[in-house]
Amino acid sequence: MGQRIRRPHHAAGLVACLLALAAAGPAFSADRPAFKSGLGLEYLSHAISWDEGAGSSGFSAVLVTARQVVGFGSGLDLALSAGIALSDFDGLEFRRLPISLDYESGFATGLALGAEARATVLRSRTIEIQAVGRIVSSIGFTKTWPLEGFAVEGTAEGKPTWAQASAGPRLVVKSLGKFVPSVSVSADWLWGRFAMTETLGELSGSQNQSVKGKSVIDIALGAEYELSPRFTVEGRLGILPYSGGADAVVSFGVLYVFR
Amino acid sequence: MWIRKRRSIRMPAVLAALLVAGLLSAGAVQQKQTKRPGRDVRRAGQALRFEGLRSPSAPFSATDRVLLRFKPGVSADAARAVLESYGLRDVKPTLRLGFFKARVPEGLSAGQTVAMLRLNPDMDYAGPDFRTHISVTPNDPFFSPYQYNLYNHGIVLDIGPDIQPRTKADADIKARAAWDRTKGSPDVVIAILDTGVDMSHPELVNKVISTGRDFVNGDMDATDDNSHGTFVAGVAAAETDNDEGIAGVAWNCMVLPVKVMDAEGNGYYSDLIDGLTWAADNGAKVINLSLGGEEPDLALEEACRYAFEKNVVIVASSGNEGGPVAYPAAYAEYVLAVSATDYEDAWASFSNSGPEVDVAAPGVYILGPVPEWYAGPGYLPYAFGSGTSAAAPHVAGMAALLLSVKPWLIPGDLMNVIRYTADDVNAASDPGRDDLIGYGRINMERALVPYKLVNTRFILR
Repeated sequence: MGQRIRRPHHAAGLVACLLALAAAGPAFSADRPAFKSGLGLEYLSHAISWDEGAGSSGFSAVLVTARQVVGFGSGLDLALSAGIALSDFDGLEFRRLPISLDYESGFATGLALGAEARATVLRSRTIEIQAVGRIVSSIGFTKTWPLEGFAVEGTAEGKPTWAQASAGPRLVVKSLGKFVPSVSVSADWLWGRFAMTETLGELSGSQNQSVKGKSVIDIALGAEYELSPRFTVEGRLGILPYSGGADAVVSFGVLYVFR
Repeated sequence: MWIRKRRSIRMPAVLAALLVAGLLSAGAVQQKQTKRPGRDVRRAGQALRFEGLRSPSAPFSATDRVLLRFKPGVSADAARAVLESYGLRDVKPTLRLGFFKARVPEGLSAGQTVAMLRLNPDMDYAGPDFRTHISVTPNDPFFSPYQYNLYNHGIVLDIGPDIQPRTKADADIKARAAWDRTKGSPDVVIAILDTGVDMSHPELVNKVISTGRDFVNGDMDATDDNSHGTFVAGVAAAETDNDEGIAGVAWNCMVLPVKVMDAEGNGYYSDLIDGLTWAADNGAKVINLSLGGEEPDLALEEACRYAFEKNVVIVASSGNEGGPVAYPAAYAEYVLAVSATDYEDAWASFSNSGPEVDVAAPGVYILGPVPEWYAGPGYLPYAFGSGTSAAAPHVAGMAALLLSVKPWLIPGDLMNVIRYTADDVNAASDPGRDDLIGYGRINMERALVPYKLVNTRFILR
């Protein structure tokens, strides 16, 4: 009935291509700081489909991460992040277990790991065009629920993992002093898997529910503002339209600049 | 709605005799089985009263309306004007909370309308105005007043002038909630190994997949010449929501008649063995055995194993003698043994008991179909029957519903689902699994409606 879910492994490949492109980018910017460290907070919301498109529900996540940005001096910035992800798969169904389960348990905790590459591909005095690639993933901690009300004792164990990748051009306006707005259009992929195992007396079963984001385009407005020579704040608001609705990504970060 | 009927339900007295019918002696080469729909009661020729409720025909979520709220500061008049500019019709405010309800524009679905409205920056909330629904209630006229076994809302069972027991609410198998999930698949066939089936009965005429097989007379016409098999088939899978008669447990599942007992309700193990293997080879996913014998038999056990290994779920009545569990119900590895409970969820004392009992199901004053010729002139072709014969087809129907939504379940797992989801209705006196009702009276809702995982605790690994 539905389309077969394709794991967008090509997303990681695209990010790698952007990194390669950045390596061949324009000359080193002398005034670029070499290192920035900071904290980031991100909320993302996606409509997801599963069971080969037969089912759909919502997915949202909150990521709190520490970030390390490294400027390589040739128009290439590479950021790595790590932290905690709270992932909400409410509405996800597990129908291939002996006792069907509906996930209505709210946020599940996990590790968040991310990487982002920005490469300047075109620059003038007032604007800059960057190629941006980003991937963030969460590896959930196993969560256990007792199965109550049955004639025998039982538990369900769930572990969500997911990843989101995006890649595309970003137009940065550099003529407004400390305020640096930007607009970007990115291809966006979200995919993941929620592994659920059920044990009830002598019954047991497991199901890996693969999920896929419905939206494929991320249109975002962003801005950076230099609070002081040491501190920069940045924010981003993205809209991810899909047939029948729109998803959103909101992020906020504070960066400390090492000089 | 109250409707008068001129005819009424008659007690099939022969069924009562079956309760005490003898079994073959232990040393016989071919052993007889005795079927056991025990006590049946006569309903005097008085008017029947009934009322029916229609189940919703559209999917529950299907709607042509939306529910909306604007951000603070937008006046009601402005809001109404904006909504009407979108083409929304019948715009009305809710009583409180500041929402509006409206019908979607012509040519747009609720989803498309919601997507459009969410783009409006003044919109605080836009969503489908989902439809509510009552639990599925079939319109079969005898469902509400008589079939406490499926849905017990605490009624007086008006069986006859001197038999009017009051039922205990919720002493049922929770059929309505399960039917919300599935009414069964016609791909799932329940073989009724019994005295045959009246294939012209209104409750079964559209449910039998073939004329079956008659191992008693050696032909391919398993027509019922007793009434027992028709009754059992109807409890499991009578045509339902057809404005007539009773509801079956497995609305849409089909019936394969296999005659292994004669007009007197007696048969041979050899016919039963042939019936088991033939049914397993001819499309049955579930086999109901409302019959049994006192003696174990290697060939009978082999036949049960044959069907089990062909992924057929076998359900058998435990017996009505108040003694040990009969065969083949006692073959615990391959067969689900079913004892009977009554309209108050109490164990029926005629039920055989023992460690082989897996579950119980209602088996006292169960209403089921009987052949027209059996009911006789002036009577409707239905009868009340009591016995584990009446209990077993509830479990067979439940197994068929489970297989309709989970066809990959192997018999062993499916049997455990039925066991573990049962209600331990005698927990006060005998908590946990016991020899009277096994794990308890079956609960179709718990087996078929998804369990909701809600937030409790988590552990780091």
